[in-house]
Amino acid sequence: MSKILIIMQREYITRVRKRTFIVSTLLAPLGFFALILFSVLMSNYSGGTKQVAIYDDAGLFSGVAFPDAPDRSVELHYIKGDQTTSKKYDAIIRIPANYDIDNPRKIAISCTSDKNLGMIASTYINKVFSDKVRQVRASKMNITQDQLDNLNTDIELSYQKLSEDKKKGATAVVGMGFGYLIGIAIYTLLLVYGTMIMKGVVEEKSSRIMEVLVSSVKPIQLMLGKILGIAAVGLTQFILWIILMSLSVIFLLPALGLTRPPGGQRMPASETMDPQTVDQVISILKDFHYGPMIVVLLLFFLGGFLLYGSLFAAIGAAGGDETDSQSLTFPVILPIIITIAMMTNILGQPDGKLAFWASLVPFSSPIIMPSLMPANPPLWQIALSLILLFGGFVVCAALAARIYRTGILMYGKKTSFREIGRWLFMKS
Amino acid sequence: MDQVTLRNIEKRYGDHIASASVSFSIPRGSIFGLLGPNGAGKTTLIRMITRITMPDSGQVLFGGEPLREEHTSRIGYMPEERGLYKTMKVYEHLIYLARLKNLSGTEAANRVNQWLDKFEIAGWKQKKIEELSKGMAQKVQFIATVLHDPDLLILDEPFSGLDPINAKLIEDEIYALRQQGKTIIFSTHRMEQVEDICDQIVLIDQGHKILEGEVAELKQRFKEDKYHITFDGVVGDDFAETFDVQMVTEHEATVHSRSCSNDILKYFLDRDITIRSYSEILPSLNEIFIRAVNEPKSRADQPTYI
Repeated sequence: MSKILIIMQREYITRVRKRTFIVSTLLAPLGFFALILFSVLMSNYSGGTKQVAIYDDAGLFSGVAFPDAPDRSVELHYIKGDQTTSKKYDAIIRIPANYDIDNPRKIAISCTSDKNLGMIASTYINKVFSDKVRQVRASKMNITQDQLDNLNTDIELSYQKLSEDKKKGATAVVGMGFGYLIGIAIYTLLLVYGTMIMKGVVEEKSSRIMEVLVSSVKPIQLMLGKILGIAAVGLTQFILWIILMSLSVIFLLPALGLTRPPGGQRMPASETMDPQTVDQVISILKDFHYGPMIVVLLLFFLGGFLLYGSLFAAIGAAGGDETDSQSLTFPVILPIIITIAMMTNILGQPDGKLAFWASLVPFSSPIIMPSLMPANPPLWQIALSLILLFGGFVVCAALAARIYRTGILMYGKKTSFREIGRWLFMKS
Repeated sequence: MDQVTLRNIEKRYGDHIASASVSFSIPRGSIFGLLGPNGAGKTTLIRMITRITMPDSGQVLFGGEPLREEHTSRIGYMPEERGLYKTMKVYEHLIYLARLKNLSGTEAANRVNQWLDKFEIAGWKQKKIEELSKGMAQKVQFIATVLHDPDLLILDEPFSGLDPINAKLIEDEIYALRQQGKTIIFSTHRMEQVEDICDQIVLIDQGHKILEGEVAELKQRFKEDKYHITFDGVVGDDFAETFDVQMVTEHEATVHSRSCSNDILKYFLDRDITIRSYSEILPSLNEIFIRAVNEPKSRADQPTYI
């Protein structure tokens, strides 16, 4: 056991003090922070208010109000008749005198400057004009504004389960999204750190230190020490990210006064979502039981990491070099990819059959079980899944160790799957 | 007392016989040559002595006891395929390897410092392995092998890649270790390297033991009663008539003589030809090996051999 610890220590220390580790650990939250900062800045950045003149040569829209954009990105000035063109407008919309309202063509918008109006402004102007044209045509057809509003009623579907109240329905949707994020995070970590294990083994083989080591320690100790050491690296990075990101959200954003956009202005991203929904999502997120969730997340991350890590280690040992090993990774990566492919289905029906079985099978449970946590699965399911996962790890590690101990001493030979199969049944 | 005893060791990899019922003993405090061409099965035998692999059948004894896990910390093994972690520093790397051999942290640090001083390379401590030349890395590798003061040292091709100065350094170290009562197994396919170093050898070919014994005794056994003489003067025609002459020039001759070799000397003395040197020609290990391989009858104990 103590030898495993010594190996673990080396694997951990040599990786954690690497420049790439420090840089990626610091940069990822910084990038995350920059992303938030950027999107907040972008939403606040009006780029100045665009002044747009409407020359209504046809006199069609007299008496119709043209509202300014609520975010002050566009101010519309209605000018009747042929006033002199002034340079103070960023763009001019001209409605020709022969404009036929019953057969509307495109209204020409000409810009007085080289600058484009920009997406938001153009979209707003388009929307205003289609509204106004409809309004004018409606009044021509003797349809009142009330009748028109009646026709335009938005329908909002709210999804809820029969026996549950509205809040629970919304919780399911938010939980699904949150679970998906967790699943993707574990998936990424499994692949990134699994590959790291494989590379570590390949490095030991190609640098020829392997045979020096195996005369001191048993191959299984070497394998477990490496997997655990790298798992610790992954956990360290994961935890540091969470801490750094929380810190950046808690301290940096308020310091810049950017947590909420100033009153009267709204982020474009939330344009489609009304503020109530946002608040509801936040309150649902606040209601999740983070304590148990984090415990389950860490346990399943560790279990999944041990299971897949031992397989990646075996693959690394079987291959002669990195490209060789890379070509052997497919059967290991396949179950991970299948799991991710099933995830939308599973999270859509967190109490369905597929979700149940996927949360128990050791190859998919490390990803599925934590991502089901927002849906509050029963405790016995979590416990059973955990037992199966660690049982699966023991079986996988035993098989992987057989491949490992033979593979690490093989040099200069390309390994086929058939050969690996033979190693599994070879006597020690 | 034998440090290591192999009893009927068999090992197969599929259809390939890596070791065919090999038995021999290695006396404690000796330098033992494990010789044979590439692919003869030397590394396979070493891996079984170090418990990296297990024999299919047969037994390995270590100091008279059946080989156990604990014994591995009393073995130092420098494999032929050797290397170190490239990005680790010399000092921490040696500490790491020492700790894997069950040394405590302080003990490891003491020993590493001692050895670095001894080899006058204490200045390399903070250098990364990848910054070292091949010869420098070999020295570090040797230190890693002996750090834990093993009773048995197994060196597989220890001189490959070493310049003569460093080779001499390692060679002297090997003698010093024998002086301390350590046993050294020296595995190589370059037999001329070990002729003077080894006390005993065993010759392996294609998984079979060809012969074993003390170097001097083997040379006697395989000698061809040839003598080499250098002289000043001219030998007459009667020289070739009297002796079985293999080669003769103006200043030297090679003679085959089953009888007393003093007769040859007497011939020169009688004719007053000045003898510069006179010696018996003993076969090199290389020659012995080639002859042994070509004499199937010397492997009477392996009837299944091709």
